[in-house]
Amino acid sequence: MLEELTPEKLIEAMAQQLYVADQPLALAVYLALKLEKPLLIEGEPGCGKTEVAKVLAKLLNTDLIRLQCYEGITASQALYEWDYPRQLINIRLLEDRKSPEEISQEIFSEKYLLKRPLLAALLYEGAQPPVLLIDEIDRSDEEFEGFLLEFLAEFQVTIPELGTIAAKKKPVVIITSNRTREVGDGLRRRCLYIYVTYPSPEKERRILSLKVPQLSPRLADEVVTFVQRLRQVNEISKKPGISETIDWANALSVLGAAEITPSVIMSTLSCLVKNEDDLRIIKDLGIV
Amino acid sequence: MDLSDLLFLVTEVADRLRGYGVKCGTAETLDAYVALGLVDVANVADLKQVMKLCMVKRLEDYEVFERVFEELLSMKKSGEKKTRASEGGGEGGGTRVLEKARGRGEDQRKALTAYYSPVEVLMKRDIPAPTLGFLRESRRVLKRLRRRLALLPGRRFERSTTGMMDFGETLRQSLKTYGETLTILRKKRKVTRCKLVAIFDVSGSMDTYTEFLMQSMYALARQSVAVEVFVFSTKLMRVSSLLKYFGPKKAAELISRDVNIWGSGTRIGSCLTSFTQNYSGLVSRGTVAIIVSDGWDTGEPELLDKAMRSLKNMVGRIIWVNPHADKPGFKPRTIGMETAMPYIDVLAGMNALKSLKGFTRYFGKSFQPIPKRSRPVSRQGPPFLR
Repeated sequence: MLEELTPEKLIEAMAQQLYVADQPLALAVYLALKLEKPLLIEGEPGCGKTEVAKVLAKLLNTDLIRLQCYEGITASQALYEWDYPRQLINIRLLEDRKSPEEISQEIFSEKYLLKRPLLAALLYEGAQPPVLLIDEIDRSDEEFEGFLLEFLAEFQVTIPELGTIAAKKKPVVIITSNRTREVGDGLRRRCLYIYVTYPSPEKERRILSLKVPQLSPRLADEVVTFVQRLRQVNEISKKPGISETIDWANALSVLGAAEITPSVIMSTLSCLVKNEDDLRIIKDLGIV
Repeated sequence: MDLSDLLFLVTEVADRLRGYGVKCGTAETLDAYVALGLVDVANVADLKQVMKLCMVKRLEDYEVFERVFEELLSMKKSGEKKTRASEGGGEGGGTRVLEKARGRGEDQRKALTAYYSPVEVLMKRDIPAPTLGFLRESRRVLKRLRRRLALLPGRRFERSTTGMMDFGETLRQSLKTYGETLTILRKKRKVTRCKLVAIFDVSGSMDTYTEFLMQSMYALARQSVAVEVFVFSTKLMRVSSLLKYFGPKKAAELISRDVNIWGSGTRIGSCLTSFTQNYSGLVSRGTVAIIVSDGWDTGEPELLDKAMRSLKNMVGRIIWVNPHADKPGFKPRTIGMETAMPYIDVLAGMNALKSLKGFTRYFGKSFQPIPKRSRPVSRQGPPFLR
């Protein structure tokens, strides 16, 4: 499948998985696959960064291995940990029968290794390489980012007790960032980079027609117009992303709304705006 | 377009990007070249897109790339015929073209500089680059400062008598005694460093300190990713990467284009509000905010009060550096200062910034090591430093 891939085919294939990709994004994904390089996607929250990885996994017919970053995440949480309780029990069971050297060989073997996402991606057994999603890298701290550099450059890890484990197949790596912290230059250098932002009205309409097909085209049109206008308001601190638009469209179709009136908007605004200050600003400015 | 043309284009774009301070190494150039071979490039837009993907790694640099690409395209169009004619001379011709392109690049670089600096006042002011000694010294101090001000437990562990059990080490120890666990080792998170957010006032009243402020901003921004630098007068602006790339002088020009700098009054309240609203993701309880301002505020004090309160709730500590605090008989009497006082942990004078060694000493004295929880806002105000 990878051999005869072109950016155009990728757009089609992603559309089949209900993801509307524009030319630059498809090109980025295509090149990441071809050059076997990680793809760093930055952009506003809710613009489908994470979704790229999910769709890609489905499309390549492989598994998605996800590493969600957070402040204070450590190498052992991302890579591997020894299963200490099992090791302790086994020392007890084996101590009469085996010598200390044999025991140590036994308990530091792969059986007792708890695979965390990164190691799982390296040891993946499937026919296709897995998609490794490193989500919200900006939330992790810089030490962890430094550790990732080594992993992403070599696709191998060294476990002191076991030796070096190299990837059987290089996983497809997608890294996302919301820019709450600047991702370091080292990591950027190793990746292809693309910035995704809010979609154009046409693209957003297409997304809605794919994701919420039960919504009438006229209503979808109104939804898109309103959301686009909301994004123009600079006073709002958290602007609605595509996922919010989809949520809202879903809510409207569940409620059976025929058209968008101020009262309908006010009662469903919580789908779009998730911040009390923003709600107040919208009311004050009379955008509805 | 054949392959040698592509190679020329890619290297030329890379060279010019570097000229503008964009980090674009050989690896990026190589990537772009390989990628262009992989994609069936039908038009200029595709070409541009592929090169952008491989060579530009920051949103801030997109604009520079567009400009560089436009430059080259227009150059190619106008120079097409001449190039073809001069290529008769084999290699020599090729080098000449390259040299010519470079020369033109220099011109355009100069043109761009002029374009970026519409504020005359600043053009006249000469902001010298900080000396190497200053930068080295500030790096050392900053490192110490971040440790001294450390607030939250970090990622690493240290051996400890309390805290959680260290399974790994306990197990490794027990192997020595044939698997018999004799001692249980414990570990706890090491309190390491803090993030710093520095917010500098660059309004008219701070004019005297411009040179020094720009230099310290630059020194701060260069140090680490854990330091963010902002400037404000009537508007807030994030300048960390700007400073890192362009150095103090050029950055001052770029900043003056956007912020109403070294000119009109200050609106501390609204600027801090926009900080707390837009950049809350940058800070946490482990962050120390340093505000450098004289507290002359032309906005409403209520707004400042609200902004300071929400800032106080977001960050671990607030340090306010007031240039006048060094003067004998100083009392925080400006409205801005009076409003902000209850929320400040430490008020320091400009000397604290100037003698960087002193800076750490000051804070070493005035801070208790790790406050476990957020402390209530003290009524007496902060310890006062000269």
